[in-house]
Amino acid sequence: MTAPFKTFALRLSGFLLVPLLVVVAAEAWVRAQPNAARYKHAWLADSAAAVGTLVLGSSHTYYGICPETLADDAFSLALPSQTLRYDLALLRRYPLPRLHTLVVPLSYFTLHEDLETTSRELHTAARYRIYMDVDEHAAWSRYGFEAAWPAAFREKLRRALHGERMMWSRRGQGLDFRPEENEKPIDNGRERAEANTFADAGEAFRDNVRRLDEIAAWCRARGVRLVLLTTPVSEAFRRHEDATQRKAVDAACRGLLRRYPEIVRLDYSADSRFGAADFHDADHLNTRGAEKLTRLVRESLRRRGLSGRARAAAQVSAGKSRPSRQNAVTLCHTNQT
Amino acid sequence: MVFNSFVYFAFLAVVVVVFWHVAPRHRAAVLAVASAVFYGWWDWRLLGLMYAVVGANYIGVRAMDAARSERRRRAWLVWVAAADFGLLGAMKYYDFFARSLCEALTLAGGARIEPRLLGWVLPVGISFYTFQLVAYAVDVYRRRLRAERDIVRFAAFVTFFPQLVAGPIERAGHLLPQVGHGRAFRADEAVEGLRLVLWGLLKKVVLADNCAAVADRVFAAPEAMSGADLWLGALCFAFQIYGDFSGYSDMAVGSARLLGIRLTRNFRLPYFAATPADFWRRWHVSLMLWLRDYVYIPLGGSRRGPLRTAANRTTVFLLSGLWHGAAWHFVAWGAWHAALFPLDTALAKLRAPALLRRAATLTGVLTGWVVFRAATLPAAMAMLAAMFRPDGFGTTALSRLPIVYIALFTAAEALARPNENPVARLAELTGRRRALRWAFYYVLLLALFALGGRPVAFVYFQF
Repeated sequence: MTAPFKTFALRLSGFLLVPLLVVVAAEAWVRAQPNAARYKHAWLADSAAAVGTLVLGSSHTYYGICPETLADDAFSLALPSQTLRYDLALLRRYPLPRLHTLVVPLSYFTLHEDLETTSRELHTAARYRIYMDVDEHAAWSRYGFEAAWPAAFREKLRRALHGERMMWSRRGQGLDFRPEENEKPIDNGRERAEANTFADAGEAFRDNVRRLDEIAAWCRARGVRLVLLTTPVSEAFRRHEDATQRKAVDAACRGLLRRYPEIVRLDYSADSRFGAADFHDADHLNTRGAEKLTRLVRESLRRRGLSGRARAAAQVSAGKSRPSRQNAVTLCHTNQT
Repeated sequence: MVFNSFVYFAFLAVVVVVFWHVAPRHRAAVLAVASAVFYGWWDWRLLGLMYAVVGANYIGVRAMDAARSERRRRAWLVWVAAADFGLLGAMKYYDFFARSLCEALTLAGGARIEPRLLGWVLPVGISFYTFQLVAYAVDVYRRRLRAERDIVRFAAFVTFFPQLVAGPIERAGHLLPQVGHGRAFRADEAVEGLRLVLWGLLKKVVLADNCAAVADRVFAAPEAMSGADLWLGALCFAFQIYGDFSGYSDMAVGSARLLGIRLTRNFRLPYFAATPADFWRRWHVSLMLWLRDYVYIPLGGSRRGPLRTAANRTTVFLLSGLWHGAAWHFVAWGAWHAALFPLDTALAKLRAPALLRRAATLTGVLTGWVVFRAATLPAAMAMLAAMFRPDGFGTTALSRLPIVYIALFTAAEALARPNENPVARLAELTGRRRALRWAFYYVLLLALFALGGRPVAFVYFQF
């Protein structure tokens, strides 16, 4: 290596030191902000053994199911843009010895979306590596750093600097969509349906059907009741769904129910009990709608009776005092997902 | 790996260090290996195809160069060109022409015929390296240069990673001697390279990606847009594709400069063109030079009368359209540009003021971009009809921020001297004060981070 090159390399290294230090500091600061993924990981690290009902899935269940209302032992491990790949990974990540009921959403896009191949929210895959220690990607890959996703990193810095807070309950429900936020739901049915239509999702579809099957098999092996839930969506959203994608989802669902008849299928997608006042936008419920949906789900599960495991768990705890339901929905601070 | 990624910069840093560290006789090998890693990062399965093409061309052109008779030389040239274009045609155009033929036969009244499609994935960069190889074969045939004997050097020339996937399309006479050169490292050259990379990044991340947000919205639902929205969308796409492609080119040229290699500048302020001909001397220069030297001139160029000239020009632009994509609206885009020439000639004959000719050229180019970007030809026609409707202009509710970026970048490039990038021009204003210069660079890096749009794939990768 010649002297001019060495001089150049040293000067360049000196120049890059400042932005590198800034990036490292910003990375550390962003990671220190409260976020739902880290909160849920920490909660489960302490209390996974107490979870009897677990909710997985994307924003549809993150915002749409109220664990505090669903059951005393419920917890939501759902996160916005979470896909079946990560539902399965999270299910295997935490020890859940008392789990008797698992709620997994089957939305219009569930079987077609894969963060790594079809989604525009690829950066959200990093939260599993960084905050939940899920090893779907290597720690030293770009999934191990917030700064490796400049647009999302910028947004997180902006929100942190402006003190913008996202909110979730103690048991993991997203609380950002409060009814008082908007007079009527955001009219984005067409946009949301189109954004969740994945025309060329062949491989992703096959992989997701396999993953759902693995979840069902996992539940069967452990005597856990699997609840396949479709949350309400607006008429505008349903009208703009792609017929081919809808057909594929319905066919896959029928196939799954044939293979696992014990699965509880709850489809509220076109339920007329949900009106404009229950929605934040075309496919997300607000907290009022979430409360309504959760009560319906709870009643439906009660009518079907407890799973064998739940019965056994109920018998064991029959002699113990019931935990207080006061402040069941306790607002937790937040910042980012 | 794409240029605007951390992994590319880490890769480039390693390549630059190794390149200047090894003995000059090994530099071609370093570039060849680095290019293999670069291309393999995209899809390792396509490496075999690319090196098979490199090997076939190496053998074929050497055999042609060694052939004694003109007949045998021509035969080898035909074989090499047919193989190269045949592969490109099969991978890129077979399905398109098969589908179009079956649709035409169906329309002609026959029973519906289902085409048998290949469904092959288009390898990244194939349009670029195929043209580069054919130009090399023709140049050897014309005895402008001898066939390269060193296969490693030849592979490094064909697969040179800065220009492999999106050009510029380099001539062998220009790039081959530079690959594996024995020159000493020059810091001023390296700094110039870094400045080009920075400017290219700014064009891609700030200009192109921000314009893409508006353009995508407009072209996704043009029927719901006002005339003003459509014009804004067309303008944003014009600068998205410019920022995207010229930004990538600048990064390619800058990366090569870090290795002491000079690539062709592919863009020269195209939207300042005075006439359609001037536009094509400024936009994707390497492709137009290729078409001029290997299609237009062999067909007779402008030496055989106005009708033949127009026919040759139309052929060139139709091929240019087809090169960009296997779809009829790309061909229509090419045909539109061919039609702009007689329109400009008419304006010239009417002694229209230069400003009017510039405005007409820019309008013609913007119109062409609508055809280029729209999903189909009917969609483009509908959008253009709405754009030129006298009563339908209205107002726009779309973000006007891209217009600010367009104005800033255009002003910066206009103020820079020819063949110089604005970062270099502005850095000169700091004189010899390194602290001030570094502060200026830090501001640009901050702008890159703070103003970047949502990442969008490079448009020209699909070609």
